[in-house]
Amino acid sequence: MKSDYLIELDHVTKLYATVIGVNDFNAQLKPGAYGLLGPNGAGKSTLLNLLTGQLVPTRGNVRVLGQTPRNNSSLMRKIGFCPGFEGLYAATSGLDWVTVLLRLQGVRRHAARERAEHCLAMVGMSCAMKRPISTYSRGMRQRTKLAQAIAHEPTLLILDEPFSGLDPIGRAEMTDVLNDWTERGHSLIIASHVLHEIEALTDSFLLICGGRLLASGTASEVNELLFDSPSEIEVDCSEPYRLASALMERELAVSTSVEPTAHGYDTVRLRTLRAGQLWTQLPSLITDNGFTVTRVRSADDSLQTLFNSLLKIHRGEK
Amino acid sequence: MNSIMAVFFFELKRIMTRGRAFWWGVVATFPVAIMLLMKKYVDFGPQEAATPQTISTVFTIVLYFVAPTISCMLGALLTAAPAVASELEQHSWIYLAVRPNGLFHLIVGKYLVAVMWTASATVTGVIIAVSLAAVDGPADVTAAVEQQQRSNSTDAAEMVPGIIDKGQVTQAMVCLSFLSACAYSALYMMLGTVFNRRAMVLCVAYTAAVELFLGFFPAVINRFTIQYRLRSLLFEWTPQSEQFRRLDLVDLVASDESAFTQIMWLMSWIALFLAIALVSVQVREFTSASETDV
Repeated sequence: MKSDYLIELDHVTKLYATVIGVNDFNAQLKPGAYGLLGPNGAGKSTLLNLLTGQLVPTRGNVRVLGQTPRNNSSLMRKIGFCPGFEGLYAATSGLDWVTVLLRLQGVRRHAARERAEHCLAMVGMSCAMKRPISTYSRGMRQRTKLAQAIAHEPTLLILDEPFSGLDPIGRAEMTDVLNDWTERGHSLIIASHVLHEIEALTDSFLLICGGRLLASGTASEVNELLFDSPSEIEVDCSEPYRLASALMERELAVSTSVEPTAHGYDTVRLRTLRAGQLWTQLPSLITDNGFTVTRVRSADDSLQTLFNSLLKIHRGEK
Repeated sequence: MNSIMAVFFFELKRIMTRGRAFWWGVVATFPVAIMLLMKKYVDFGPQEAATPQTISTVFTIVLYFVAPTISCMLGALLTAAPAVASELEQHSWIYLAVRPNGLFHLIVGKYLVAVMWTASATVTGVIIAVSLAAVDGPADVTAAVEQQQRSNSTDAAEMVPGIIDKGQVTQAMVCLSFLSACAYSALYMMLGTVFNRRAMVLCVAYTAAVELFLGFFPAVINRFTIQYRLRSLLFEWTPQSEQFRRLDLVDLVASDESAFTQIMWLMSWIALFLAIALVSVQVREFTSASETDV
């Protein structure tokens, strides 16, 4: 069945006994590159397993390139998958492994060998491809995994935490390969719990937590959504009690506390329900009162907190 | 076929390790060692039972029990039983599962490797065991015939065919070993796929309870075992086992149907076992993600 959509998820729910992996997930994605962003345990791997047909949804329908993925061999020719875990054969060389996986795509022996060599070279594995995988570093393994996923030139490439364990140079190289991939018009879905890893590859995000799709859109759209969300902020100030008082007076904070620090000024820890308003008014409040501020930072900049905020918005809580 | 052969040769290369070579040697040596020990230490004595035919019957029956039965079971257990479980445990399953018909090719390819590994080890053991341990050669024949005459047999010449015919026994045992390797590999492949979490333990338990206990149980239930069919073929293909065959009890644990019928039964079992394994991997949800990694 022909479809304009890369992926269609229609009220997809996946249960593992009483544990919810994916919860009433709806999405329709056109061909392109997407980042699937969520903290650990958010349901990213379950979603990817549903997309690759390894799992059957408990409820709802999954369609990839217009087809149901489960036991669909014609669809599997169009999908390249790089899982989050390693699962490589230690005693086998990267070249032999990629070759055999290519042969499972129906490619003839010699052609598979040549193609495998080309793809391994493309990911920077020219020198090590004939060595046993047990001698590879973590980064080399990740690159070998990527090579097997792109070797058969799939229409859709699905990557689960591809940057995991890579050093900065490895990350940059991997990003280059993937950017090149998307520039050639191929589709990409990349799952990660690190925002900046995905930002380097795509501007389209799906934010998932607790098995639910919390938000989707571009980075600026997501930032806008988060702009006025509740958050905690820390300010190191010369007059912490006066600052706390001023914030409460202007109703910019719902609670404040002063925490002494060993060096420098004490810290005002505040909780606000209107972060956007606070960020707008804080500079004038500081200058008007003649405070000296040495540091301002979000106290809850972890991705999990961000997702908790989104989850609350999703539930209609404040 | 290209994909099956790809898995076959890849897996064949993977099992060429020192550890696997050691176990191949163990499987091949087992029948040789047992038969040599039997030849050296089992005393058939001067009693009436120690006729050349008795000796060859005992040799044939014991060789059948150690080679096409125990060696093949052991070989298949080592190769076929963990085929699926090992892929799941080391998380390599997913790479094959996302290939077109990847799991079908994996199961069939690994099955062929298990058959080849098991059959080659057992056949090697059979050939060496028959060469080294069988009662044979002019001296042995003469001694056996003389012994037969001393035991007041009416026609010593009639007993001579009872002496091991190496070619015939080897041929029969090689065929039985190959069929046994095919059948047990399919059985263990099925059990290992359906019950992948405790594959080895379950295969051993099944073998002991069904193949070795029920298979020898004098009731209709034994007809549903691989052992029953292999044993029936043994009696069909080896005249040496004739003396044993005449025992009343044996009628209950072996069939007198033709060899073709027995082979068809075995082929049906193999097809059924592999079909169950293949359906199982298509229907079930195997994911390599760790439990916390939802």
